[in-house]
Order: sequence, then structure tokens, then C-alpha cells
Amino acid sequence: MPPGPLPARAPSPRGQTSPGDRIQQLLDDFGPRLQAGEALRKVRKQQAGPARQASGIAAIDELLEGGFSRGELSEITGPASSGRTSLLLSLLATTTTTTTTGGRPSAGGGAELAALVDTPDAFDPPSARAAGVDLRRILWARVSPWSEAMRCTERLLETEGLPLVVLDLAQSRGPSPGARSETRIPRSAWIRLARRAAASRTALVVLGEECRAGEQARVALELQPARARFTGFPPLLEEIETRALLVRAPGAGRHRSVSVRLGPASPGAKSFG
Amino acid sequence: MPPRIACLLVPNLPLHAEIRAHPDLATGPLAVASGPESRAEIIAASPAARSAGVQSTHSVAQARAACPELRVRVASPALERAAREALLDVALSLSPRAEIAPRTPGLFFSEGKVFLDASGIQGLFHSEQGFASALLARSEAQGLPGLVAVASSRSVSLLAARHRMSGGPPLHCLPREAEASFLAPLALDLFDPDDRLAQALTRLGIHTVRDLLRLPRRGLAQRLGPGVLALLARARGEDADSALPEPTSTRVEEAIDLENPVDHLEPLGFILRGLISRLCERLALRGLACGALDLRMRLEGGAQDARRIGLAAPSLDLRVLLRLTTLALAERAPHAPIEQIALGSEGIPSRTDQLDLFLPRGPDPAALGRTLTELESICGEGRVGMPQVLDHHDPLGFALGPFTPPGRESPSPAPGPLPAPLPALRAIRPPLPAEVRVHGGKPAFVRSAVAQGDVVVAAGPWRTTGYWWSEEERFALDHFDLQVSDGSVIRLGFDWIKRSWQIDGIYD
Repeated sequence: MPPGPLPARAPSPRGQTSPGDRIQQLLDDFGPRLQAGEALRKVRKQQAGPARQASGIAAIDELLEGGFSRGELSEITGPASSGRTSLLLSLLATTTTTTTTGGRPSAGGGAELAALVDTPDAFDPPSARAAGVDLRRILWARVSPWSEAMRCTERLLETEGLPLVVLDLAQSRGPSPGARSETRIPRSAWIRLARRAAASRTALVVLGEECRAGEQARVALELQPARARFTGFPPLLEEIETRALLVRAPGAGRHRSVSVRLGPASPGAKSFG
Repeated sequence: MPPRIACLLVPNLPLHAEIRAHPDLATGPLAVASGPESRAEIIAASPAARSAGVQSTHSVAQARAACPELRVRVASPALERAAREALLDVALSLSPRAEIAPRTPGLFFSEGKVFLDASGIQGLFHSEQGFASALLARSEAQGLPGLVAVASSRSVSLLAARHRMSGGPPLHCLPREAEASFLAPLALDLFDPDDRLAQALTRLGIHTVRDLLRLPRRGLAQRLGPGVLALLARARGEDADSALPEPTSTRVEEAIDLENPVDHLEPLGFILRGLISRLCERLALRGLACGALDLRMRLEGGAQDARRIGLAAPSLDLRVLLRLTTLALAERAPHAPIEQIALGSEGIPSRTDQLDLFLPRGPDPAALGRTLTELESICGEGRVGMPQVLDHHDPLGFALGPFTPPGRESPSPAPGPLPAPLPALRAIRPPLPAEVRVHGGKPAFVRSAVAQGDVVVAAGPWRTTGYWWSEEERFALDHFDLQVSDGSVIRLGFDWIKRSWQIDGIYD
């Protein structure tokens, strides 16, 4: 039944109708709207989109429509020096530090734990601290080979309450003989991880040189190095410029790209306090 | 309020200790002997063995003659001690104060008993009967079926429990006012007097409490010895013992003597599974979790092998603890077959968390603890935890501490706006050797597994030195930030101690 305007009813003096009549009157008034479930539909619509884990880089967050989705598997790929690690540290920083609104912690924002499964043993704590990551809230698992890393990730995804789990599969020591076959992870393993992430509402972010999770990744972001900028004399490494291309995304967002500058002068870093 | 004391008594403790460790022995006739030889005395026998004619006074040879299918185990002091301590854990799961009764050498030497405070339990169990039932059920769940009696003193509760050994329901709650009438007809044998006193009383025709209490007290100690006064006090229901203590130790240990020394990891796994399982059950009874495992092994030839297996977080996960223990043994196998194995742990309360109204709920501390322990079993010891920046200038230095996240109310270390995203370093551990051509004091060409080509821009060098006083830890490095013609941006270092070039990070 389509919802319509409330019918006007003549006021009846209190005491002249029985409670049963009054209930019936209320049902007559609101019944159509209740049955149509307007309010419920509105709430469901609000909850339909997955919660997002902001990366802290405005351009990337805009590209991803708010950040990396919780409950889904996302991939960040690219060659060395493409800015993958900088993006990762920014993501960890926004997750582990407290976001505030008007001096009070904002609901659902920050001061949360994040887990990093580090297969190449490439996480650098001083860099992370410089990026604003609260190291006390990072669970760092240094594990190899990839099969054990997948087990660790699966176990972490079984732990409810971790909003972000990062699986770093990017090679740090360059290609080695047989490396390609070593990192060929079976599709079934990705299916398991994606299901676990969905069940625990955790944002699972996988870092690598190329897309590995296939269709299990709802979002795949490819970073392409543009240039490194050294300034001053003697020269100092100032920033890395990279291009972020959305190679996989639900809806119409696919193949959009943005240019990102990772350096002290980079615009659009969100303010947290 | 007058005190109420419960006694949990397990007759034939050596037998139940064996069955607790080897559940397959529960079926069929079983006896426990004092030694391995055929003349050794049977000290405990199962009901099936007793019905087949095996008696406690028999030698092993006599017992085997009476019951050919009898299985005989040699009494294990380690198993018995663990079973006795398990009784205490059962008691402490229901009462804050409990004590193991010392082992008596006489008629009742094979019984295990523990006293616990049963005062004021009505609020929790409605009645003493309910409390005694719960105690009995928990004891049985630990593989230690017993008898429970509640009375106003240790001695009366013990006598009431012993009285039930001859038959009747395994529970007996004795009101204070009924104690005298209960004690009066009891045989003095239940008090387990020493042999001299027992003989003297028998000579005088004194067999029951009633007979004893009729004797005039004057000169009694002179005629029958000083032991008779203590016996009189117990016969009157008077308790000379001090109040029951609260336990101070949370340490739990399970051990087993192996009949045949074990020198392979696979059979040892089954033994360890049983030990860890019993250890976890006991810790769970006290609401504690396993902090770290202390593994002690007595090897053939008398040597000892002890090791400590650290855990990332308190855990009661049997699978994870077993994996960690077998990994520790596989890493460094004992050099001789194992004769006895003991596994101990300090019980640690599980972590709790204060929830916040305004922030999302984090992981449950207990679940997080289990995850940490399992991760450590996968990654290896010291490879899971919280990253830490060391307070020195070594650019390659870092530490991994135990993961103990702060509460959500704890602010970030540096409140304020987050810094803009910076070019982050991706560490290469250990550093990768590189072939470098230098021109004008700066690298001009690099060849390595991660970067190869002419240097487009070079920044540096930045020199860091430290720990010059330590031969092992000293470092002296010149670092350059380089953009190489293949597009990579690397951190190249010259190690002045090794006098070699190395790449220890990629800006990514």
C-alpha cells in the first residue's frame, strides 16, 4: 500500500473512547506507513554501503568513495617506489590515532587496532612513527613463507574487533629464482580470506606488485610511479609523485585515476587531533 | 557464624591418578603396585580387580595368579602429586580457602583428601547438599571420583567422608547438633590411630567412640600414651587445626613418569597432549590462563633438560600450546631418551577490557590473547608483537615488544594533526649488497637485485656511528638517498666496518 498523508480525524474527548478503540484509531492512522516500512527502508539504505576505513590521503579517499571498505578485500599494487608503503602507513595512521570532532572522539573513528602480516619483513617502525602511526596499536607479525602468512591473516580475521588487517606480499629484495611460483597463491585461499573479512567486518588490504586475489578483491588500486622530487642544495628527497589507478571497483568507478604527491607539501591530508 | 568445613576425599588415589593420565586403563581390572618387581605390594586395585580376588595385601605375583588379565602399573609419585594438587584446584574453584591434607602413613595412606571452607555457601548453592554435589561433579570431571562430607570441623568431615567409603551415597552433610550422635557409634579404626595405641585400645575392649568417651580422663595419657588425648579431642569433634589458608601460589604442574623411555617426538606428542590438557583444565578451574610453559625432562642416565616456552599472551588453547611445545622440542631435541616429563605454568588472570560508549569495541582481550599465541606458534618466538623504535641512532635498529595495546581512553602519543603522507621507507632486512661506482665522492652507478642503473639524483651522505665501545654492535654508516635510472628510489649505505656498499631500504 503506498504511503499517503495522514488522514485528518475529528478529535475525540478523552474518556469517551475505550483504550481498545484508541489503539485501533492509531493503527488506522499509522498502519499504512508502518506496513510500507518507510523508516526501516531509510535505515537499511543508510546501512547498505559498507563502512569505510579512510586512508588519510584525500585524493585516494575520494577515488575510493571514502576509503577501503570494511568487510571486503582490497588490493594495492605497484612496483617499487610507487608509494604503496606510504599509502599503507597513512592508512595505519588514520586507523590507530584518535579522530576528534569538537574536542570529543568522533563515533567510529580511530584509536583502533590494526594488524600487519609482513611477509617480506619490510615494515620500518621509524618511518611509521614519522607518518603518525600509533605503534602501540599495531600488531606486527613477521612471517614467511606466504602459506604461513595466509594462515596468520586468516587467524587475525577470525578475531572480531580488528578493523584493519594488512597482508604485505610485496617483494623487497627483488626478484629471486622461483619467486613467481612461490607467490602463486591458490584461488581457494583468497576466497577463504574474503569470506572471513566479510564475516568479521574487517578491511583486508593486500599489498603486492601485481593483482593476486583476482575477483575476490572488490577494489584494486594500482600505483604507478611518476617521479621523485629532490629539492635544495645539497639535494634532499622531498616527495614521490605517483598515479593511482582504480583497476577494479564495484559500479562505475573503474579506470578512474588521480595523481598523488607523497611529501610534506602534499595537499589534502586530513586533520586529526 | 560457626565454621563449616567440607572434606573431598578420593580413596585409592594412586589408582585414579593412573586412570586420569591413561584413560584407556579405566576398563578392565587394574592394580597399582609399589614397585616393578613381582614381590612388590599391591597398593590399590580397581573394583573389577577386587571382584576378581585381588587384595591390597597381595604381591604382584599373587594378584596376577588371582586375576590373569590384571594390568599392573607401578605407582608414580609424579602422577599422584599432580592428582593431589588437582584436588586442591577443584576445591579452589568453589571456595576461596582450601588446603591439601597431608598424606597419612597408616591404614588410609592411599587416600587423597582436601579440606575447604564451606561457610556461607548458601547464597551460591542454596544448600550444603548442592555445594557438595557441585564439588563432587567437578572432582569427577577431573577423573577423580570421590566422597564429600560437610561438618563443623576438619576431623569430623574427614570421618564422615571415610564412613561413606563403606557404602551409601557419596555425599554427607552433617549438622553441628547431629555430630555427637553420628560420632558415637563410629569404629576407632576410622581415626587411624597409631599401631601402639590401636593395640592398647583393642586390649581394653574399646572399639567405638562411645567406648572411648566413657573412659575416665584421669591418668589416661599415662596409661595409653599422649596420642590418646588427640584422639579424644577428635572423637569429641574438636578441631585443633588452624584456619584454612587462602592460596598464595597460582603455579600448576603436571608430570608423568614414563614406563619406557621415549626418544621420538611423535609418541611424545601424545604424552604432551595429555599433560597440557590436564594443565589447562586445572588452570581453567581457577579462572586462570597459562602464562608460560616450563618444560622439565629427566633423561636416561640422570641428566636434566629444562626449558621455558614463552607465550605472547595468556592462553588455554590446547592446540596452540601443544604446537609451541612440540616446536620447542623439534628445534632442540633432548640428547637422550626421556624418563620423566613435567610441565608447569604460572597461572595468569585473563585480560579484561573496559568498553567505551563513544568508540567502537575492540577485540575481546581473551580472544586477542588466543590469536597472539597462535600467531606466535606460526611465526616463531619473538616474531609477533608491537613495533618499537629504539632510543639510539642506528638507522636499522628496531624492537618488537609484547603486544599490550593501550586502552581506547589513552590518547595518541602526539596529539595534533596527522603529518602529511611522507615517502616511507621499505626496509630490506638484512641489507642487500650492491655494486657501486663512485664519481666525485658520490655514487654514480648502482647494480643490485632491487635497483640497477645510473644514479639520476643523489642526496647525502649522512653519517651515523654508534656503539663504538662494543665489538658486536658498533656501526658506522654513510647513507645516500638515490634516484636510479630504472625509477627506483633507494637508501644506499656504505658500511665503514665491513667496507662494503649495501641497500637497506627502498622509498616507496
